[in-house]
Amino acid sequence: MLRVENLTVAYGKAKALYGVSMDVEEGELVTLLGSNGAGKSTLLKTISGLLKPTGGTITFKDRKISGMPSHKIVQMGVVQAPEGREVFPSLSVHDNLRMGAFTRRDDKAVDRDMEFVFELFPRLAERRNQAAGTMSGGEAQMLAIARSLLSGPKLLMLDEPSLGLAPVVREDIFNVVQQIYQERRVTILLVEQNAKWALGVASRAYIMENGRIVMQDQGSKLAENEHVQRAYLGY
Amino acid sequence: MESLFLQQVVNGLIVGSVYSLIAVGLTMIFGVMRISNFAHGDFSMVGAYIAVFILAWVPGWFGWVGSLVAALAGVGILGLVVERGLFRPLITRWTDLDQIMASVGLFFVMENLAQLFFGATPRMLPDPFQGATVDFGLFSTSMMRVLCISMAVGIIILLQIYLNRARMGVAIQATAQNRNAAQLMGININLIYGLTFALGSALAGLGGVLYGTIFAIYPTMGAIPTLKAFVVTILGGMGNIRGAIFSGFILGVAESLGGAYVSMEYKNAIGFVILILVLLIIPHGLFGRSEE
Repeated sequence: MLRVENLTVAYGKAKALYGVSMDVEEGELVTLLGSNGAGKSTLLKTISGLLKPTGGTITFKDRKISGMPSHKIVQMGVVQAPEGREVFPSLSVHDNLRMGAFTRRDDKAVDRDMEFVFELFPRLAERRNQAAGTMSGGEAQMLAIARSLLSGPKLLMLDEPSLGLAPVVREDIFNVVQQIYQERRVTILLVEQNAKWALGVASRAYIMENGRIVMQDQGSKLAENEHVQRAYLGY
Repeated sequence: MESLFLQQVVNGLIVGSVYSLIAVGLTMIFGVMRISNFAHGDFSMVGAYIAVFILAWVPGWFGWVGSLVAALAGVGILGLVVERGLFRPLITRWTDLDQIMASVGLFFVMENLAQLFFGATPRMLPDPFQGATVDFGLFSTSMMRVLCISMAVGIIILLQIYLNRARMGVAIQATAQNRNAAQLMGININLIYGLTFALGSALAGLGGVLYGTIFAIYPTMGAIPTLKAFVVTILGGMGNIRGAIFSGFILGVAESLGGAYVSMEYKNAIGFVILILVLLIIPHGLFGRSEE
């Protein structure tokens, strides 16, 4: 479904990705694991069209999307849920969700999705008229995920959904991600720091270090790998 | 004494409504595109001249309605052209200084073209009410000024409704608050830039016609509304639309009272005195900055 081939990205002269290749098949939940600065966010930004690659290609459903403007990529169903602090702070929860559905013309389908996310996150329903900037970190993260669901994703990319959240809230987010994957059958590319959960839930996983993919395997196999255990699982 | 005070407040509110209208356009453009457009007041000048020529051609009410519509549309289109032709090609490459110099250059070009084509003679807009005044007891004003403040306030209200309700209006706000996140929602930000610049310029153009009902119109007039709009924008917090609306009225009233009670000569300086005082005490302006 998504195929990244030999992708290089640079910020000015500083290279951030050195020939990254990876793919996500339809129906998979693929985890991308790596420490800070490994290039995970850069990869997601490039797939979304916010950064232009200096080399390599990205294709989605056999169409080349590298070089396309970001709004066209979203229209094709490649949707990224950024971190929770990337919500629109002065807009209400409801307007944030409306912006999620910006590219969609089918009002009825949008209304159905709106109901779905309000069921998924009852807290958001309670706060629909509240400014997003006044919400807690966990609520903002829920909003960021809910907003991305309103874009009608075929491939959903989640950028560190549990970052900076209290353990209890983190559990909620984990459950929701699994629910979205199982009930909505959305293909997911998950970038996470919580390796234990992220490897457990994934069909496959990639490990990224210093702008390169250094390992790839089934989630459960990587969880047993000695290097992974030492570097990411804290054994 | 009381009625002089009230009269000055009313005069100030009328002029202030025009400041608000022009400044709202400037602050919107800054909020969304991070451009400080030093040629903003020249869009007002163009709007005022559109009214001068249309009213010379079609006098009376038809001419007035036509002037307002033509100033809004004509300056809006001019804004679109300037955004596409000047600002957009620079937007990915420039530094803040580049865009400031580009807009200062635009200011000189527009002023000089206006001198070339419109001549240096100051013009006035004809009064459709033939000088009729209304007396409210404690204060009085001309019908023309009643029309001026009603138009300005009406347009500001319509703009607020558009920005808060319409899909594209909310998208403008979203882009101002977080450009990257807006792109991730599938918002075409180039489209938003064009729309914002056109809308902001159109407001300046319409503001220019209203400005011309109070002050004389001449090719270099744009510098004054530009400076006033910057004072208002900074007072209200850069990019803060509501702040700009209120600050416009505050500046109008302060100037009017200062002119009456302190000194008429220093009227234009009063805004800057207030600005410096506010910035010394509250660096982010009276109403806070827009979200970065």
